[in-house]
Amino acid sequence: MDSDLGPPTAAPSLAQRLPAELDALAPYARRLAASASFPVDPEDLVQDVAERALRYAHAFDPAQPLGPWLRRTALRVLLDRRARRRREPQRLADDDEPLARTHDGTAEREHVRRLLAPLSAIERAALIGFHAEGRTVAELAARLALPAGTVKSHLHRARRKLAARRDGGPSDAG
Amino acid sequence: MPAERPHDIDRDPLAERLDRALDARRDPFEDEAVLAHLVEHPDDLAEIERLLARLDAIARVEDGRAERERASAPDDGVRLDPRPPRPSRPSRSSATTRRAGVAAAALLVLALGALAYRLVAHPTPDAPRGRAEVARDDTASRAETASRDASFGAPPTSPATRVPEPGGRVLDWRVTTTVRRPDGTQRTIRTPDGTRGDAASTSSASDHPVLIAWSETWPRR
Repeated sequence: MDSDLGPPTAAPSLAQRLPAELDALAPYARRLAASASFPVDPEDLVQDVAERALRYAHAFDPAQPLGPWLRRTALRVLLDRRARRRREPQRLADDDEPLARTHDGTAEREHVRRLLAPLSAIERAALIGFHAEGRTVAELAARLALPAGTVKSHLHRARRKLAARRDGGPSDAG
Repeated sequence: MPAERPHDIDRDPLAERLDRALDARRDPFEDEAVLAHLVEHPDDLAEIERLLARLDAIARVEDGRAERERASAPDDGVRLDPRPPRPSRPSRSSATTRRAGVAAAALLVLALGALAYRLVAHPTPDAPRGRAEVARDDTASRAETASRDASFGAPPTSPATRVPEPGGRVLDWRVTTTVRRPDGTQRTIRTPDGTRGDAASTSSASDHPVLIAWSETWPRR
């Protein structure tokens, strides 16, 4: 007697796979939210990801794993929010909350002075020349009488030292 | 090994990816390598933002210092401003201004004349629109608003917020509503136009089973 195999089963759609993947996405969303420089509700982030995933389901290759695609989407959603916040003017969350803004640059200058203190003179020159003055590596190499590769290495080392400092300041609010 | 290659730089994957993006003056958050790193290591987002904020602060402070130096530069009597001194007599620019004023006045006269012609030749109808017509429009508008308000807090606004769903139904993903879960807790979520992402709602189950299934798994606070 031949067994009836029935019709071939279609691969589950993205919408069918999404609920299980959203559960797995939640911890990632919490880590992203904790790492962001502005308030993010992880559940709200997951909601946005679900919406965007459904909206762009046609762009998803069903042969690929869904998890990394959703994580990438979550990251994109968060970065889009970050970009919107940077474009929009500052708003008061509450009329009673004063804007945390200082018009005196003294605090920021002191903060930058502390940031640059651990850098050598050449590292400082490379960092300021490249990021503040907008000079190219070639221009800095000519100014400092160093090979371009050496200037780059000083620049990279300066960035690492800058990123490594843990003390916060008025400009670290992001 | 080229003499220029550094020998003491730490092999930090994120730092290397950031360096490549920053060296090319690309926004790190638009760099594929950085994004790929963050997909696997979301905690590093804070480090990137901190570095970018500090670079911005350094640029601001250096800009301010350069401005102060320029402002405090001694004046040795040599005129650095390339603009010529203001003439003491009326210049050609005054005549130009007068001509512009005359042209504007002429336009105003023409506009008033056109308005007057319209009022005289084509008076506003004395009779308003029919009461039935007005009432019909009002009722339709109120019904539409009430229908939306009953389902969710804010009505959809511009067409830009409406996106087509596969299958042709248009959804408004920007509409929000506050949903009360069966256990009494509340959550503000976005829902498709006319439906609610709530386990208690039956109308949305057939439209968006994913949202329903997901909402049922939300952890209780």
